Amino acid sequence: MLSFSSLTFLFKICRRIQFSDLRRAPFVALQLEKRSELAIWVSNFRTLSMGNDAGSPQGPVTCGSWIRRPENLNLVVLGRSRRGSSCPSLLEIFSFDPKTTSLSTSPLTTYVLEAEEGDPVAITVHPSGDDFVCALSNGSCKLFELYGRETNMKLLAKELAPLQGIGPQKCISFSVDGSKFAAGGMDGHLRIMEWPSMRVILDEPRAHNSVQDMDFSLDSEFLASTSTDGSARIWKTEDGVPLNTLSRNSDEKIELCRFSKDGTKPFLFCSVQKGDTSVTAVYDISTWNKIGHKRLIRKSASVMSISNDGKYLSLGSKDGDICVVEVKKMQIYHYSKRLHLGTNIASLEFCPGERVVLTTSVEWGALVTKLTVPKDWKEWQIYLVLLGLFLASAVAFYIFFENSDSFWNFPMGKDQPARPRFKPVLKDPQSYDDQNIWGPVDM
Amino acid sequence: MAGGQLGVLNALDVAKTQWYHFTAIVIAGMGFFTDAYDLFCISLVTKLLGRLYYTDIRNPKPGVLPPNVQAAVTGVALCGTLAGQLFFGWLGDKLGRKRVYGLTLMLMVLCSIASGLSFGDTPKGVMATLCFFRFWLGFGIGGDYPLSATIMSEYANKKTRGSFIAAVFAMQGFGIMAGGIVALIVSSAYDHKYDLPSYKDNPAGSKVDSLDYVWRIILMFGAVPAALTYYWRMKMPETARYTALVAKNAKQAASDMSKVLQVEVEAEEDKLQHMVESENQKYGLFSKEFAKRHGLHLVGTTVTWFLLDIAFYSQNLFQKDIFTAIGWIPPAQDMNAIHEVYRIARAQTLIALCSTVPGYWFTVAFIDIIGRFAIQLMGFFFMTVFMFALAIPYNHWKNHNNIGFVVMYSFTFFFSNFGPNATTFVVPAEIFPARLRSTCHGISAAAGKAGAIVGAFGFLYAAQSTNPNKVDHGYPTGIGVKNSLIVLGVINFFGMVFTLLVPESKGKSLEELSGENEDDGAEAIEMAGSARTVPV
Repeated sequence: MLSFSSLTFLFKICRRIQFSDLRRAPFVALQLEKRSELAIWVSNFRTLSMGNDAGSPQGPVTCGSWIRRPENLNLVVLGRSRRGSSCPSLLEIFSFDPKTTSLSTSPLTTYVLEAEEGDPVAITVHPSGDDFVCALSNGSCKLFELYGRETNMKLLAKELAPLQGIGPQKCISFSVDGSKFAAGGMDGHLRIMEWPSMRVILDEPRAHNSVQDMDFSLDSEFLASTSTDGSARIWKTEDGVPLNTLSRNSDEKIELCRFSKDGTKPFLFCSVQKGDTSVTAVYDISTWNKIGHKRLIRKSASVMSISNDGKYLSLGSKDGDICVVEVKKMQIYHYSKRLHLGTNIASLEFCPGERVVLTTSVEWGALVTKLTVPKDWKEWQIYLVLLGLFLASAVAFYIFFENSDSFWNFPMGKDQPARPRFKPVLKDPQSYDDQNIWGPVDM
Repeated sequence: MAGGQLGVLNALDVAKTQWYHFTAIVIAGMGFFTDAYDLFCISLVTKLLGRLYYTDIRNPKPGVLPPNVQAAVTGVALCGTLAGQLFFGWLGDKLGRKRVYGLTLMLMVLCSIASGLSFGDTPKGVMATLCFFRFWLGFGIGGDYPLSATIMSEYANKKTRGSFIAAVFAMQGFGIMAGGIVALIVSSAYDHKYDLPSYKDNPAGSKVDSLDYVWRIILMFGAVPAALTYYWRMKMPETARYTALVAKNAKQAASDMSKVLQVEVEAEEDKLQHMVESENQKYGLFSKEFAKRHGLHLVGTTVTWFLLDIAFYSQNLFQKDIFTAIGWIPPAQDMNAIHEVYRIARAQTLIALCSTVPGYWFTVAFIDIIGRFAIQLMGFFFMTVFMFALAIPYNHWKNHNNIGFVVMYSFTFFFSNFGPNATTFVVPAEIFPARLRSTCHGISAAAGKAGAIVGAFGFLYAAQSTNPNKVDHGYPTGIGVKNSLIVLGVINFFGMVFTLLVPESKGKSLEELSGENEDDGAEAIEMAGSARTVPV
């Protein structure tokens, strides 16, 4: 009761001093107890004062994504929608510091969208990390290219003619090998194109009632797409032919889908709403049969993601929870309750090289969360094990070497001085037989 | 760079067979090429090592390695291979395969170079150092071999995967041949530089100290293909394949996943069917059901691989001793040290060029036409025939017609490679149920390695003459080359017999062969029986 009152009190204070300022910058959140949550509130309260002085408030974050750059550098791109007439729509690039698990306090570069372009709806980054595509609310998609180093980064915008005026796109995605691009519209129109030539592979106006989610398979051979009416379809990306419709019971609605990224596990993971319960179903992509299902997240899932090495699957809920599951055992290894308090999580993505996830929501902006999962073997640890084995065998070998003279030596060693008793015998050719008799004796 | 790398995989699949795929074959095959070079080049230099470090000029024969040292130098890499397979198999689960692959190749590069170095110049110091680094070279090869097999299947074009894998495997033959060519070049160069008398004419003058470089150069050259493999391999992208589909392990993967999920509740009839199927497929490796269905198959694949490698490795490692015994290579005292290396390299390269390499490519061409069973049976049969044809009239070949001996001997190698050497690798990957396939293949491969060790160490002693006067120094008397060849002939015959236990997998789906689609056990047995009666 007391805690609840305190939270209410803080909430009112924040309201009074332009509560929305809290969202202007991303901040770190770790797995929190209730008391820690209170501490974070206070910390943010102090930050707000500086925030007010820094400049005008900005629009809410609508989408975000990681960008993998050379030399193990990871960036984050965030899309912000407009707020009023003084805060235009933005695309911002932040750098990520793995040591502190935080984003930079100010963006490396910013791109301001024109008023008629609308707001960013979805972002997908090409696997090369050099460019990304942003779907806008005015019904077009725009290509952005990243130039320069971290200190002088620039964004260059380009028009994509085949993607102009196609209507709002709910999902856009690049294939794993970067050779294909897919866009799923809110009107149910599904497109697959070659990248970067933009040759049309599939152009299906009535693929779905309305596209809800989609994903390319690890080998870029299949595209899975789901609809708001609960159906899910599989497409062959080589020629755009529909391959299959996933089987489901009448009370099931398939909402989200992600292909496995572990080559030894050829599965498709789907978030399925069964009545009031949300479960994760697993389909075998060699037969497209359902293997089984498991309940992982307590509320309805709003977003799903899988790590680059395929070890972990993550779900974000409509109440702001996230959970991270180990794929091999389908066990929950990390659960953050109310990471985005009471708000639908819009984006959820694993960092390419670290056990960190980026989450965004309209209310709370972008958060970077370090996951409490078992640490992976580091490369230097492997080298250490191997070096240890090498040195251990060297020691064992040396001991053997020192204690086994008879093993290495010829019966009469190369440097062994001639024995006097043999000299007279050698003069007689017929004595070779005698010498052979001596040989075994020496052994 | 990243975009270019990612484009490789797309191009490999979409395009018809073209330059991409031959490049992929070379890159994937370099692993096998390197393995074969490193494992077999030691046989080219053991005679030279004996001459350089163990010669007593008072003896009418030049020196040879003592039996312990000969066995250790020749076989220690095989022991390392066994250890490496276990270690890197464990490591591959911890890290991605690409990292492990880089690690094995770096180990091979370093240990190839180190093999040519030594602590001190005493025989003891040189041989001990050589054995130590040969062990670790084998360790790296043990890690490289299964990874090469996996990676090549991942980068294969989807449409022509079968012949691609066989072609990559055939790179082994080129590796063996490369070893001979390098030895020929080095020994020819030294022969031109030094004009040395034969041992018989001048024991002390038949070798010079700088000949020490010959064996070191040959061994250290093994680092070159390993380094090239490393360079090309690292330019390939991370694996982006469902290897479970490639390796046809999707059912096992699905089975593992179903254990951690709630399985769907099914209708009554479906449920009954499901229960029957589950019982049919849930037997383990050490169950009666496995023994009934696949026990003989496992015995067949294991024993045939074991028996093959006894013959294959003993002959590859000790060709030179046989050639000397029948006079194709002159007695050691009639040559100087460098002549001996040259003659051995020439003989082995000729055998590889005319028999081993063509045998591999015949298998590539015919394995899906004739079928694995027929190739293996025919291979063992002709190996048996030619072994006995060599052994029984051995004295005739030796005294009158050593060229005839060499021709017959070449056919033995031809039919080992157009025969069991390739099929013993392919068949265990096809005939067992998915859940146990990798385990059974591993058991068969381990038996093969055991056979290699038996061949490497056993033939060395067995082939010694029964006459004490003709035995090399330090060796006990053996049963002679003639009887050793008879023993190998008998071994090949038993290989042929045990081949009858292995079913034909050509043209059958894996589910049919392993009985995973069968509800009735009796039908599976009947099918296995019918597979065994394929006419020769």
